[in-house]
Amino acid sequence: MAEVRVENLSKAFGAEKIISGINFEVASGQLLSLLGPSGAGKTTLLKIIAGLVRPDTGEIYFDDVPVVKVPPEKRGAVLVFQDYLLFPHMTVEQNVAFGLTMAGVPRDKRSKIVAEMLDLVNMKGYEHKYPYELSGGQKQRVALARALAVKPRVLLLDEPFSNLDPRLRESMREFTRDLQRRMEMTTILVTHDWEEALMMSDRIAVLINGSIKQVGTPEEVYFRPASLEVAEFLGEKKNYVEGRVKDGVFSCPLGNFPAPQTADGDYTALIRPEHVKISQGGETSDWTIYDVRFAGGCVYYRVVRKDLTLVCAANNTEIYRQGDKVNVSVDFSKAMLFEKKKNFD
Amino acid sequence: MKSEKLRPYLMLAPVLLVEGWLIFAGICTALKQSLGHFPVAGLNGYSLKYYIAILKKPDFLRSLAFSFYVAFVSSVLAVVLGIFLAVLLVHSPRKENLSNYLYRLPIIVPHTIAVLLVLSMLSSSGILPRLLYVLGMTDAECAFPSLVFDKAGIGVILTYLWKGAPFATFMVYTILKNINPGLFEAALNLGASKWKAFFSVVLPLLKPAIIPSFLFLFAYAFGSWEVPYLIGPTYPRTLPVLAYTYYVSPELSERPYAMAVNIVMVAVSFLLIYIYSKQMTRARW
Repeated sequence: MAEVRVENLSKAFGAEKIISGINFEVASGQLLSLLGPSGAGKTTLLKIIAGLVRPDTGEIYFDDVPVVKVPPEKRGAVLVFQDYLLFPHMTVEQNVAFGLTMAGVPRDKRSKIVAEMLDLVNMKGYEHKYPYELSGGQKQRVALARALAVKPRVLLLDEPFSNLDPRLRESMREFTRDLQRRMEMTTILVTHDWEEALMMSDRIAVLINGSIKQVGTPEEVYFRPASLEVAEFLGEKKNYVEGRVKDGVFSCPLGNFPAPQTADGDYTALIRPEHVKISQGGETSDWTIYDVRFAGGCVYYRVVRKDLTLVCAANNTEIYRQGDKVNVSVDFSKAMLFEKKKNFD
Repeated sequence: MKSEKLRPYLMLAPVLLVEGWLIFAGICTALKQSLGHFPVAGLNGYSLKYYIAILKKPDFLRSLAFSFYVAFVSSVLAVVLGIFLAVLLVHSPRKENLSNYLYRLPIIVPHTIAVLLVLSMLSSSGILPRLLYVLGMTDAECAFPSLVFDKAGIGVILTYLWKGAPFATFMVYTILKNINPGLFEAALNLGASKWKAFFSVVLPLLKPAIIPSFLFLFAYAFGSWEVPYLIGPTYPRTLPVLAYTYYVSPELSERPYAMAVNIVMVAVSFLLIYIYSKQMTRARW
């Protein structure tokens, strides 16, 4: 498996800049997610790595060998497309064998590899079916087998799970991750789903507006986002509390909290709902439950005080009702402070 | 429910009845006469002797082969050219202009006009030989190889090509523009060269356009009379021209020969329809 290094990659279509100054590395056998909102240039970047789109500037290295000038058919970076793109006029077997046929692998060896691959993706017995006879998950697995059959140096997955229904998506994620680890396949996964990126990746590169904002492990990206932009993109519900740092203390409507090694100035604190704790309150409590959203494993509350609203994710051992008086405590050690951008207009 | 099913047939009935009657009555009459039942000429009773007779005639066999040759070559070339043009068209930024001039015009121009066009371009006193002579590329105007009335049927083939290629382009283009370009990319990505990707992925997907346009053009070229009559060689003649010669013979007793030739053409046409429906039901995807 190859190690991938991308250096200073840029691409524009006409006047429209798609990506610019892209740098990242994927260690051999690891899975890196390119995470970003739709329209961030993720698919273009993946196609550039596959050789289907030529970059304007920059270089890509597979094991330190530059590959931008290598045509796609010789590059060995195989893409699994979002809509699978199985060849509709070929059977499952012919689809999986396609890359091997193109490489001139003799027939007996070819059918051995095809059988192996179909076994790997649990699609034995479907050899002679046509793509239109398969379900989404089955097509997905055939697409995966077709890509793996050619023993790619790098596997590229373009939103591979987004067309699957939620339950199937979960099992396909697990399946793919498992397979990737077992085969130690260097993989780049494009996704707009932050949970998917967190669960599947060794490392995540966050791509927003055509440039990479942060590269790190899932924990790093989740707990220590490099910017408010990145933080906004990870996680569904968040609390923003404005305040000011002076002499290493952050003061905000929730109280004063230590903020060592933080320069003085105006800040926005981002507090994740799971770091807001609520407990049974009394008549004197400031906070009231405004609404309750029961999500099974956890319960989302919106709690209000005269000047503030917070979102809170609590466990389901005790369930509060709308209008209940509660006490709220915030674990500020997990809060993230971002300097407020000054407006010069 | 039942009336719903009948509805389309009922609505098409006026056309279908006229068409069906014309074709059915025509074929029946031809069949009867080809079997030698033609009371007007004093021929009665049925037999296969006219079929046997024409099958023994070298003229007929030569015409059959020539018809197949003209129809096959012209439709293969038209389809190949059509595929090529359709690919160009799909990648062209000015599709509208191209499609208007490139294929609409030849499709609406009738075959007889196409013959005149080809004649005025390629006959020994035509525009092309004169142009080449003026440019000093041929010694004399008559040095231009004869492309019309020629034994190889080049004039006929060119006329069918001029008419047929745009039709094939149109058919192929309609399917081609709906083929996901990602499939081509997927093939490249899996190690296919551009040519291999085209031949193993795009071309098979174009089958639903290629087969019918080939069969349609073949059937037309095989059965049409005016083009080879006007621009074809005097020998060999195509089947329709042969049938016509028998038909216009002052000797009414020649008529069964003409009809036997016609029935052979009808048989070939039905065979093509059979191949067509067979191929179309196979392409399920």
